[in-house]
Amino acid sequence: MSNLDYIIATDFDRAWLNFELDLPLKPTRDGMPNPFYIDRPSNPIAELTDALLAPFYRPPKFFFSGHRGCGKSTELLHLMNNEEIQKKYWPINFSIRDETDIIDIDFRDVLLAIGGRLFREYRKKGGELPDQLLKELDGWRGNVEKKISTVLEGRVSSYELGASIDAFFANAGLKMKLEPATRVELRQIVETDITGLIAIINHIAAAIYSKERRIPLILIDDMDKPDLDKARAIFHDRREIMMQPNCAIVYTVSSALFYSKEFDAIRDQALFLPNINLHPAGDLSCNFSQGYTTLARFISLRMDLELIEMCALEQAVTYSGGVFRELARIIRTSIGRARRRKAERIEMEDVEWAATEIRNEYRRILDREDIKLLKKVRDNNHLEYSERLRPLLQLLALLEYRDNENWCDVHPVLRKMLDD
Amino acid sequence: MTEQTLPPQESDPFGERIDILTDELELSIQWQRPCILMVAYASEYVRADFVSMLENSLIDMGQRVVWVHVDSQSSSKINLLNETFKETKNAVFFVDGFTTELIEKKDFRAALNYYKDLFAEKNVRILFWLTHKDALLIAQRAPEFWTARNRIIDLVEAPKPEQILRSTLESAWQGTFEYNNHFDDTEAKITLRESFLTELPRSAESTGTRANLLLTLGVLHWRKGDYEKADEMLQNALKVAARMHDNWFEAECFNAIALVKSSLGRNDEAIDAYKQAIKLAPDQIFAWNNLGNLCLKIQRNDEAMIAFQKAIEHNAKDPISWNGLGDVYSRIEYIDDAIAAYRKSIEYGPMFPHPWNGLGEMYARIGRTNEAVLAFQEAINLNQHFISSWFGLAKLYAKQERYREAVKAYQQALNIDPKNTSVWNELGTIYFNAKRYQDAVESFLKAIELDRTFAWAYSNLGLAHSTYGRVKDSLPLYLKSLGLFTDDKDKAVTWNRLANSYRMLNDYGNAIKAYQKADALNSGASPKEEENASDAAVTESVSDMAPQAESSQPVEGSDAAPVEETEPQPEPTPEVEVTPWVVSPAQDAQSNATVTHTIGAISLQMSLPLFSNATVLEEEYEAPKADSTNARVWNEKGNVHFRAAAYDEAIVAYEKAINLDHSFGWAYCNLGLTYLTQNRYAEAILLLQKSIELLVLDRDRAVAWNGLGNLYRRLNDYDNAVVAYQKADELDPENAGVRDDVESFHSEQNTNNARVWNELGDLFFKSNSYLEAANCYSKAIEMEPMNSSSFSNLALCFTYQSKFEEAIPLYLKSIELSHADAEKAASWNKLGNVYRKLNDYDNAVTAYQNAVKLTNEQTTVVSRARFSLLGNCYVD
Repeated sequence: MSNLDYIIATDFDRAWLNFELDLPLKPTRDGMPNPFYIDRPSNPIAELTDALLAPFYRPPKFFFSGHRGCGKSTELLHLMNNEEIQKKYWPINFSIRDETDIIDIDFRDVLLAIGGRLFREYRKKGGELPDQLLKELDGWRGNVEKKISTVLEGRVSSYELGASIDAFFANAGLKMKLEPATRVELRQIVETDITGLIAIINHIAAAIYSKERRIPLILIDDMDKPDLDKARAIFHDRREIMMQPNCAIVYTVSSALFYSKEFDAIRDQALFLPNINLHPAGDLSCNFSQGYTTLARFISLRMDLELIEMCALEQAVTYSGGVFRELARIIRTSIGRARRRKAERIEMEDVEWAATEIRNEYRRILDREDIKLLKKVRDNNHLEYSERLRPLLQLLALLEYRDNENWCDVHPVLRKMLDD
Repeated sequence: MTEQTLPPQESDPFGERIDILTDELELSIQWQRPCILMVAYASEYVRADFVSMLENSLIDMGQRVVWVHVDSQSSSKINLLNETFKETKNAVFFVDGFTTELIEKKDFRAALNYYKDLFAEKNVRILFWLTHKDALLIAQRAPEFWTARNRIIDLVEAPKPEQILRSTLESAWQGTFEYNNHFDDTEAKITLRESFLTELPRSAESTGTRANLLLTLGVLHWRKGDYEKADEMLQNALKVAARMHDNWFEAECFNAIALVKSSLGRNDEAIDAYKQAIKLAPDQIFAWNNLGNLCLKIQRNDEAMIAFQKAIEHNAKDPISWNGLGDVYSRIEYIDDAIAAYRKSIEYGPMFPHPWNGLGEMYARIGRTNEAVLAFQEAINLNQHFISSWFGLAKLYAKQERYREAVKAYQQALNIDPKNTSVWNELGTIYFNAKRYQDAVESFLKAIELDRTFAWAYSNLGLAHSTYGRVKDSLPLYLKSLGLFTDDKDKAVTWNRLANSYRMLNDYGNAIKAYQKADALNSGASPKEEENASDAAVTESVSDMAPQAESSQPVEGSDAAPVEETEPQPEPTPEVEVTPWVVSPAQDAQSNATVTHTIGAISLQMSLPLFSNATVLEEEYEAPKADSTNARVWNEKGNVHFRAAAYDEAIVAYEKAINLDHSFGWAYCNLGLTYLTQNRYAEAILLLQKSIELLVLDRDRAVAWNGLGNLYRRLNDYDNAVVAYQKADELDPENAGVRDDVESFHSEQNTNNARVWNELGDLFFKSNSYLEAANCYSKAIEMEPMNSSSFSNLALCFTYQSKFEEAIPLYLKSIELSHADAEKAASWNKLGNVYRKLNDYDNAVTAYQNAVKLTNEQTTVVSRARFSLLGNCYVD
């Protein structure tokens, strides 16, 4: 991303770039937080950090969820760089998409990914594991490969019988991801000895701990991408197994799963990244200055404030509903209009126009019943994780907030539609 | 969740939509960043315009547009899509193909969610083209994917009126029912347009759009057959059109109204409507064309011709007009003019199948079979559903005895119109001729099932049953058909069949009664008519299918029938335009004597009929085998083909003769004369010159010189023509000048080969030249007086010439000379037929009984007897 220099934009073109909706905010090369990163009010990620830093008997497992665009991936990246976390844990962060096919994901794929990634990342960073462990791992690998070749019945297989465990794990991941047939075979073999695989993970984790004096912490991103059924099968049906590895794990989960009934049992181990509060529940007239400031800062880090009228900025923040991604959308859309107008800065009419555009997009997909429900929520702000509300939450027609309790509100751009 | 209409104040103009998307893409290209866009549209027209403009913008930006069509396989082929999106540089991906079924699939939705991350990862710039319905569904079923969008652009514009009108004309109707390709999605078209109409705002600005929609709906309802609704829509369209003061549009409305009236059979009202249309917009050629088609349909040929000519006046390059004119010429038998008109139509509309079909019909009519086949095939290539061409092709194949291909072609016709009873009947005929009796039965049954009043299907089914040995089953079928027939000749044929069945059941009493009925019905016909009366059993006229369809073959078996029954109607001599001095009938008063005397140099008369549809053969007559090694026989075969205007076949035969005998002068001469008729002058000259070298007799060489003279005349080379004629006259002074009027095909005399005479007699008989055939058989008898076949054949010739008394002794002689019982039985059978003709039923019965006695296999004899009575058929 050579064009992405994380610098404040002084023209609309660069500003358009800086407000990309899914811009990943990776730490800098020297480990510093990304220039576009901002701390949230009340810093909800601190809760996770605290939980991870708290003493434990068994390495903790957490589920991390949040609205699309709320900044989960950014926060995980930020967490990786936390000094305290670095002291206590040996962290790795990877996307499950790199290890397996998320359309056809299975708990076995996840476990194999955990073990493989742990081993390879440690080795890549120069870590040395005891020979005995390597021998045992090799033995296990050989066993697995023997079973695979037996399953394959001697046919020429693209499965490389690698000389190393690295190769084994690398190949396993690749095959899981790209070859459905091999995936099935590998899963069968893993299933026959699932405890064996968990033991392998634990061996590796123990070896790392022993060497580094830090517990491995695995942050698995994009576990919120598989569909609800698959996610349920992993985190609900196989919850016990997923808690077995002897390392700290943070699984991202989708908001759909988070809102589902099955998640009730593990919600205490879950953290939901809420949106920025801009006003208290039921009182639109009272603005939370902290929320507005945070989102204004979001803009100012990316774009010179000379490029936007102050009232337009404020209106854009209001319309964002406290969701970073929605703010990025509004600003970007406003930039487009201002640019076409050949204006020097974004003005209120541009922001209003952007809000109208977004409102029209929703207008086409919401029916009378949806409107009724939205009106109800507007009036009572009551949040429930029901089948009826879930789709509206997923579409961001409803936005979740948290202060003393959890509540939700209608997306601000839709308010005008409800008044029609 | 359902769609809602956007408030008008919040919808942007079309142009701004383009700008928004272009800007997004432009910036994402500039920064090499991903961009996921969606476009929701209601109208394919508007989408098409949008796509076109966007593509142009992208091309200007140096981007290539990569279309990705999603389908049910997309979700399972991630690797494939990984490959698809591998090369993203300078590419913008357009994705379409979404359907409700696809979006409802879980795998597909999961794939969408996966892909959105992939797009971000790979910096893909991608547009999803969705109908409003699909966009809604995606939002409902794949909210994650929906929220991943950067922008979604809504195209709410209605198509422009000229788009509707143009598309209406192109897609809704074309004026005559066969000019469209398909009506498959008429309902869907109606639904869409009705929804447009409902959503149309009630304002003055929407008048034009409303009128166009009403017109289109009117036409669509007409297509559907709902004429009342069609009329209602069109009348409303007319009312709206009046406000617009648009003559052109009003004319279109009248044109459409005329179609409706025409479909209702109110032809006069239809003609009035067309005239109104023409009055309002005289330059509208489709009104002229439609008028022409209507007049043609109701046999008002002159008016049809005028209408098409008017259309051509307005646009000389309109293929439809030329085709219509071709149809008119075809109707009034102006073959050459029809061919010329069809060719014009093809020239201006090469993708238009109709003139090819017309051309096929014309070529078939004049015996240019190969060209006809090619023309039909071309029509079919252009439109697989062109049933007329399949039918024409099938008939040609049947004529050429290419039964398998004929069956295939009929089956194709049935695929298009499975309820066409004529085709089922024709198919039955083919199966019958190919001895596939069970298939024949099934085909006839199908025809009956579809039309319980189809008399010929009953009769033919009866025939198939009786052939299959189920004689008793045939009786009620014949009786049923007799109740349905209105034509005496048709009835006569069936009475004969019934009589034959009775004979098979040894019920001679009823058989005789049936024969008497048949004879009585036939008695009004002249002997020649009787002789030529065809058992058109299988083939009803198929005027409902194609204008030029001919009757096809009778079903029955192989033996030549007695005169009254089964000899098919020979084709009328085509009006072949030939220069008189090339070919003309020999007017020699002593023609018979001449023929007898110079049997080796027969003057073939062009007035002889062409090959008839059904080839009639006695059982013992066989066509010259394809592998005959007798050059003379091939030469005569060529002559026969020439007489039938089957020049290609004539050429093949003559060439065969030459190949077999390189010194056979006549073959060269005849081949040269054939090329002359085809204006292949160079080849003709060489061949005639060669023949002059090879022919021995002066008289013969004179013929060749004369031919050469005629050729030079065609080339306006009178100097050489005079020289050639002088040569001819020097060699044969007796016939000087006379030969100018006669272009004769000659065969070399071969007096020492009775078999050759018999074969020659076969050829003449096959072409209905019974006088010539008799002469040949007489000659054969002279050479071989003990040959029973020659006597039998000669007798048959006399029978066909109604010389029944003369035939009797010949049959008796044949019986006397025959050694084999089967031969005798056949002759007794034929004799029985002759006695019947003479109303000598006692002798007839005796003869038939003798026939039966002479064979042990009842069925075989009876069948043979039936074949002999059933008439002229070709049994494979």
